[in-house]
Amino acid sequence: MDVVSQGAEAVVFVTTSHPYCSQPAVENDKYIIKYRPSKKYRHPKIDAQITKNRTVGEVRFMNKLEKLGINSPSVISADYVNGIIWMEFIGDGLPNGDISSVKNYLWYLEKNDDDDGCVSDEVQSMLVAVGRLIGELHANDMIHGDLTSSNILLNGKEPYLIDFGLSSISSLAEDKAVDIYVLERAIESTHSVFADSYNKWLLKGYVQGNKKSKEVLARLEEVRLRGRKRSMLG
Amino acid sequence: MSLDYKLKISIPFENNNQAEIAGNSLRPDPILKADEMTVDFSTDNEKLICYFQGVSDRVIRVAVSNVLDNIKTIIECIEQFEG
Amino acid sequence: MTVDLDKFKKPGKDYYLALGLEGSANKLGVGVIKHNLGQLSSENRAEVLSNVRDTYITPPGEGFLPRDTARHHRNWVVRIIKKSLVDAGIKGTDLDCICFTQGPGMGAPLQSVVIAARTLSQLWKLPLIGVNHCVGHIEMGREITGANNPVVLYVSGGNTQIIAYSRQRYRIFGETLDIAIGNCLDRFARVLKISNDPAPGYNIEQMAKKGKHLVTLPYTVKGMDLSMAGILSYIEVLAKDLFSSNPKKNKNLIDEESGELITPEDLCYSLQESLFSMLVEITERAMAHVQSNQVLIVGGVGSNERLQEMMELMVNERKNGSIHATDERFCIDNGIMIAHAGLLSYRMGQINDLKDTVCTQRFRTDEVFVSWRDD
Repeated sequence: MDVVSQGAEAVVFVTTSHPYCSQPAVENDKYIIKYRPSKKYRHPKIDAQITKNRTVGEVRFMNKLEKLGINSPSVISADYVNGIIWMEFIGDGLPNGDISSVKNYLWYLEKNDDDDGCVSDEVQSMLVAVGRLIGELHANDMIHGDLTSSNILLNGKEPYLIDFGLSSISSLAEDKAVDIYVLERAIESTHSVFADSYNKWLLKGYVQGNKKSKEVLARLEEVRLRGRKRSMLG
Repeated sequence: MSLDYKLKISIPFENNNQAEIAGNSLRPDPILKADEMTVDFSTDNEKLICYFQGVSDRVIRVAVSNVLDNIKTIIECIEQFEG
Repeated sequence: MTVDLDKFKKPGKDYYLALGLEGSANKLGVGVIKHNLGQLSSENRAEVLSNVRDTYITPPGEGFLPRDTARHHRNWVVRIIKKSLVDAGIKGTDLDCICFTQGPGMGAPLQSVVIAARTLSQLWKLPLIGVNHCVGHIEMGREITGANNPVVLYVSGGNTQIIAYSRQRYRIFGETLDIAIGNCLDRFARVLKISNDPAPGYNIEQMAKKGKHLVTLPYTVKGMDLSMAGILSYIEVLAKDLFSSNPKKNKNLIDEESGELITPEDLCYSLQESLFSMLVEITERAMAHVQSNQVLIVGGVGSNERLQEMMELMVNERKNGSIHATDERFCIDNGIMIAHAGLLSYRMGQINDLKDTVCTQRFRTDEVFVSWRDD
């Protein structure tokens, strides 16, 4: 079993064994195991609560996404108390061997391609597709809670959402606006050179994916303003 | 609004250089409520001339108090650190 | 490739001296720093010649107001500058430049200090350098700890940010969506009438050490951002009920397991445990996101030993993780960090004309062009 990544709250492994089929159901099939280890820095009471809440929340959220047909890995099995989720494997490797997250893909382009390559039509249509996916998510009153370019995987050209530990259900424009704001800021800090174009394309897709985007975008303007005002006292 | 209330304060320093230093230190900061008030700093030999114009006594009083506070710091600096 | 930090060196002088003036909040700090020619490194460290501070302390239950804080700074600034020069054993005219905090911070206190900076610059005929307070913390933290490219957790009275360097800017990856951590702790201290001497956060830390029962508080993390206003209003209600005639009426004030009444120490403990868990979590998320294994904690709240301990526990679980923190001399607002960051600017030729020395309450960390780094 190999470690694919060590995120902030979980270690992600790739495995060929299935939790209840003794043989791989399909030859060469791979699965993901996401494990939330207990965090020594947290008080045990806070730790147990967070591990359980997030694992339960993530599984419920993924089940709902699957029902709605919104791109995300499907859950195979889960152990809430121990913080383990067994799920479908998504994504493929980039030429440099990194996982095909949107972040790694954009970083790869920045290193290996010229400026035009970083803002090519292909990148644009990929980010519009990501925006559309987030729009669909919000249209169903589902909030991701931790949108960054690390938490979107590319399977071929199709974007998939992952990492729903901070997710929630809400119909409030405020919650949706903050969800987008968090992504916008992550893009600005992580992909600063082309951030303006990237964010523009994401929003373009968002409007396509969410029919009721008008109120959210108006709210987003307020949230951005709040962010600038807050900055800040010494 | 017309700036009908005016006040001119003349502050003597030891020499023109000191008065210039004071004026230069005070000048950069923008006046709050710029539409109600202006302050102009100039020198006349060893004197620093502060000319206040405002829409009321009250706005002038606040500005004068701030300027005098700052001049105290400037004078203290000059006394302790000149030469 | 490295930047040339000696393009503006003075002939016949193989070092630089800078004076730094800080007064963006309730601390007035003045320091003198010395850089030798060449790149700073473990063999060529910046040298702290003096680092003097005076804190404006208000009575329990009261915060510091801009006007009163500015008055404090005005009353002390010249004396503190004088002491700083005496401690360093230098004259004003030995300096190369005068650095001051240009923001962010409280307007009136910032302004009360820049007036002294402008006057000294003319008396001694030295250039002025306006410094971003947050960048001052980051550069001083890097210099003292030797952490060259860390994820920075900046936690103070007015700021809560997760920062990482990329392409000549300190970029903000995560921050508070409402109030700052220090502000949250200070306001809680006011409800409990905890002393502001030496600092409310310090006294909460001491009380928290005696806390036994953990009260469950809201926990609000949004990606690399966090929110603390909800926790504050929740715990304020608990604290007020604790002082009411019948505290047991609020069932959250009775520990589930022991049936004992929650104490003010328990509240301090619970608040710290919850807030710091959130901080450590978003720091770890930022580390995973930017693929870094170094953490540097700066800012006044960064001197909290429990926060440092929790951060260390997190970092130890990560591959090649390392944690860097400074003690209260450098964590808490000080003049030396302004001198150090300002001197780096000066060595790159970034100086301010008198007309460009106006201070600003809002001054984002990522607005500063970090010319002295190009990694």
